[in-house]
Amino acid sequence: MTATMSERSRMDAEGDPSVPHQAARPWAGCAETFGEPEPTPFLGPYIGLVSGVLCALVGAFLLLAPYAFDYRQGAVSVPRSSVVDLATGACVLAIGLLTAALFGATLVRRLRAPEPVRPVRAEQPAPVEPPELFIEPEPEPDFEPEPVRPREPDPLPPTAPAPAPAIDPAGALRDLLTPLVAALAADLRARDEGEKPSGQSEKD
Amino acid sequence: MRSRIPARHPAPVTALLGLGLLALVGAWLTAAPFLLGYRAAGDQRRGAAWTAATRVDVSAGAAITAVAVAALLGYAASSAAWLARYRRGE
Repeated sequence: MTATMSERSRMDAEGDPSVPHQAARPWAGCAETFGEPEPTPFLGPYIGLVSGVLCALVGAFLLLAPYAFDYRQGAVSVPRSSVVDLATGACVLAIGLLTAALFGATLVRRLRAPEPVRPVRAEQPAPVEPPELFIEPEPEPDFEPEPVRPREPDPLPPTAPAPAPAIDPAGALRDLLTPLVAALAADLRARDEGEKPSGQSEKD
Repeated sequence: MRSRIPARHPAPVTALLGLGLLALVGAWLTAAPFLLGYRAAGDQRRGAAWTAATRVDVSAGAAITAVAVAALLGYAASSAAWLARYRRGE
């Protein structure tokens, strides 16, 4: 039994070692959410998007170059350089636009994804004391003088207070001594009242 | 056998292949005037001064190749930096 209790207290303090990343303490769960947020890697798709657009622009330039620079120079047949530029320019334009679209889609998908939180355990979680420590001491009872009453049989001694679970030594001592002091005061008062009638009869 | 964790941000493989293809097309465009041996009027002759078509092809091909290779290297560098920063222990 003792071993079981000690093992239980150790698991409460350290967490269950059989369950990774899961602490047995209920207050340790909040520490799991703390950590550095993991940003989305958007720089790579952004670089690809820009480069794809640039390549597409160069491909468009290649499509216009044979006419802009007049490769033909009055010849009847179309020169091979014009054919190569037109074909290559069309390929570069198409591939560049497709690449830019794919990188753009990837970038949009990553930016729309919710930002995850990296599950990093806190270095030292804030110590959470057991709830027994937070029991406040009861307020002190008022010591009002009791009205004069005929003598009664000795009052039963107040029952001893239940063992206070509070660890606060001042509150526990106060709770322990308060009924004892009240019982002592009642006893003295009753004794004085018992002596008074006899003294008056002696005087009379 | 160790199970692989599915990637949260899968790499755009098709787009990266497109960048590689652009680099190859740029290299082809750079070498085309010398490989094809343009023979028409205004085509590049061996040993002659570069024509306008050759200058355009070489410059455009070099630009496309440089941009594509730089994008590939930039993507690889940014991915490596991100992995080193946030997936150090995996």
